Amino acid sequence: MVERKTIWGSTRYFIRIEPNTNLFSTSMDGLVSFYDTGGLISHRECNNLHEIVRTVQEFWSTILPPHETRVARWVEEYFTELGIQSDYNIILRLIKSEELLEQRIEDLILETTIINTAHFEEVFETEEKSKIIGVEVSTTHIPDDIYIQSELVQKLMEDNKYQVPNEVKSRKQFKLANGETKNIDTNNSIDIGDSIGDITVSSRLKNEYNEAITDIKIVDEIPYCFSIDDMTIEGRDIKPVTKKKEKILEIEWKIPEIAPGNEAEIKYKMKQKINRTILEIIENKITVLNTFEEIVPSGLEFVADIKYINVHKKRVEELHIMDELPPEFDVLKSNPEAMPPRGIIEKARLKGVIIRWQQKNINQGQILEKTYSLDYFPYLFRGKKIVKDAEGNIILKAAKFIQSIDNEIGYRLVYVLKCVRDVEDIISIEDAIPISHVITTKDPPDDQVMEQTNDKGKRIITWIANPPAKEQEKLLIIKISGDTPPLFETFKIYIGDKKETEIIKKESSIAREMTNLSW
Amino acid sequence: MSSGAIVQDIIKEAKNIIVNQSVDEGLKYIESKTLDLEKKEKYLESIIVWQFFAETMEKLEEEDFQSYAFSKVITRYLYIENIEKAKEFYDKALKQKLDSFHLNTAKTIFERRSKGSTKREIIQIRKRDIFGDFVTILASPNLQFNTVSEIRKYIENQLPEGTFQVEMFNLKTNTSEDSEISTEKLDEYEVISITEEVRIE
Repeated sequence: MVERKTIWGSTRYFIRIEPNTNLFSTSMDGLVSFYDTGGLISHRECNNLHEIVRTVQEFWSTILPPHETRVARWVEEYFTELGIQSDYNIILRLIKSEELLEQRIEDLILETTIINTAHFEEVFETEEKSKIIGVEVSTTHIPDDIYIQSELVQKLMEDNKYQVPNEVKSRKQFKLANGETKNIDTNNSIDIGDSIGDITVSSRLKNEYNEAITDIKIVDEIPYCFSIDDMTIEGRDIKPVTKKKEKILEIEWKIPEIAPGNEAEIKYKMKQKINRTILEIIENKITVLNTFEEIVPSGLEFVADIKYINVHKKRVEELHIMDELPPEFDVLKSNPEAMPPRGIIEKARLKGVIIRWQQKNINQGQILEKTYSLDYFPYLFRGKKIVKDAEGNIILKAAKFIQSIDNEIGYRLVYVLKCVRDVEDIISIEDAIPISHVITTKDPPDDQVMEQTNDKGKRIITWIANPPAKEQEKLLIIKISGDTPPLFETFKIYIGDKKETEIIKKESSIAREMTNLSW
Repeated sequence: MSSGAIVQDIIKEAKNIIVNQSVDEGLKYIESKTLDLEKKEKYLESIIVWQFFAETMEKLEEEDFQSYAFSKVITRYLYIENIEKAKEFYDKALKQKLDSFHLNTAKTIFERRSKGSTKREIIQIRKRDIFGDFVTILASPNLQFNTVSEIRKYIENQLPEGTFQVEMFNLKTNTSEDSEISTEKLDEYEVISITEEVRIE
């Protein structure tokens, strides 16, 4: 980690750059801070490299004559000290350039057309429910200037990469007794599953009429970036029909009838795949493809084997590949090793892992294979309950954390209690872990934790705690050993003989966070 | 050509561009010309051009551009060690309540250099608790600081480790300011979060 660095020619002014990524590119963002010996003077969040270098230049120019070459060398040296391989000429061009090059890049693009990818799917052996999405971009010419060419490639990959949605669209159609057809469109949220990497979607249709509705058709649009592990319709033996569309997989369910007040509920259990964006340059034409790659368990880790084949009848002059890992994964190693300039593992803060490859001159039929060994990114499950009484006043806050432990099989379970007002009764937190998991240690060791097995094959653990004083926190830390993932479920809470009677509000989210876990 | 004549030519051309093209184009022209002047160590000449731009922008009621010009004038006076003139523009900026990223940077540099002070009073400090919520903690209402970095030092030295949201009141500008300060080691996690409000009976 590079600390603030003196502005050359000054002894009392410093600049610090904190990029959010280890990949040098014109789209890298980060924070630039300006200090004197008394401390921080100013700082600015920068959205791209142009803003970063211009901000350094602006800070520099507030105290010294700004010589562009000196500023560019300073920035290059700073990046080198951060372990980022940068390019002096690009930095200097960005410092000097008032105009962004966007307009010039736009001018290079003549036309973008969607292409039929059936041939690609056949050669790439794309699985039945997946698809390859492709566009062909014709250009006036491929620029000789490496900087403009790399900007063009970056823009086309960003513009055409598959966007992971946070909702699944659903179209519903049914008939009323008078023959009238009704249509309803909804967006269903993508929710957390039982364990890490699991995603669930529920698609529901409730009959709000006083009569039966018939000829019901529910069509859910599942994005190709998800693989479906399981899909069921509750209480009915119906198999859906799947249709591959341009950007999504359509899943159509036909239900003969729903009685008044009843509901049809379809549940999908899914996992996210690796989103691969492939950009091929052949003469003045550029092809951009999106493929979706499965991650499979392999022992205690995961593996993704991904193949690229040049299916064109010509040599691909330049190939760029961007593999975006699902956010819950980190890459342990890749084969071949991702070493610059051919490959780089980009780890952007709070954004996830992207593995990028580039190669020149790939002959017709040539195959390039990449294998990734993956493990879960350090995760934290935070289940929080705000407990209210019958009048809606907060009694206490309770939380359960599941924290992965590096280099060990198992995880840490942490329970926290904090009373907002005085509580006298004993508080119990009841939770479940997989039956094969065992408690190895607990802290404090004398706290009472009961264990039993329930009829669903889960191990139930109950922490029986004396209530902490008002506004004080009470913690129980349990280390669990188990070679399967933990359960991402909330717990039940009891105060004396009172139990939970209603969930007033529930929210869930998955996101990268900077946090401190010094229990 | 004398320095005075060069400056007059720049101002004349800048006026022409502002009138016939746009203020943006005028600023671009002035940026490039003052950069050339400063490379030749002609700081006073650069200041004259920036002062002209500041006055023109004031007449046109273009506050953002005026603020930017003031930041240039203040930092350049500081560079040639003319603290008195820098103060004159610093005071003018305060009086006119000019505010921008560049001007605020310049004002802070001036305050540090001239040992001037902008009193800030902490209104509220909130600390992130174990649940991930920010909870108000007790802080003396009489605590006053000259700079944001003094507040940072107070938080680093006087409070236990943590992540804080600090709300302060700037007594000179009569505005409140927010700052988030972390004094603990933070690690990146993929956080899967479920929050429930439950009723218990």
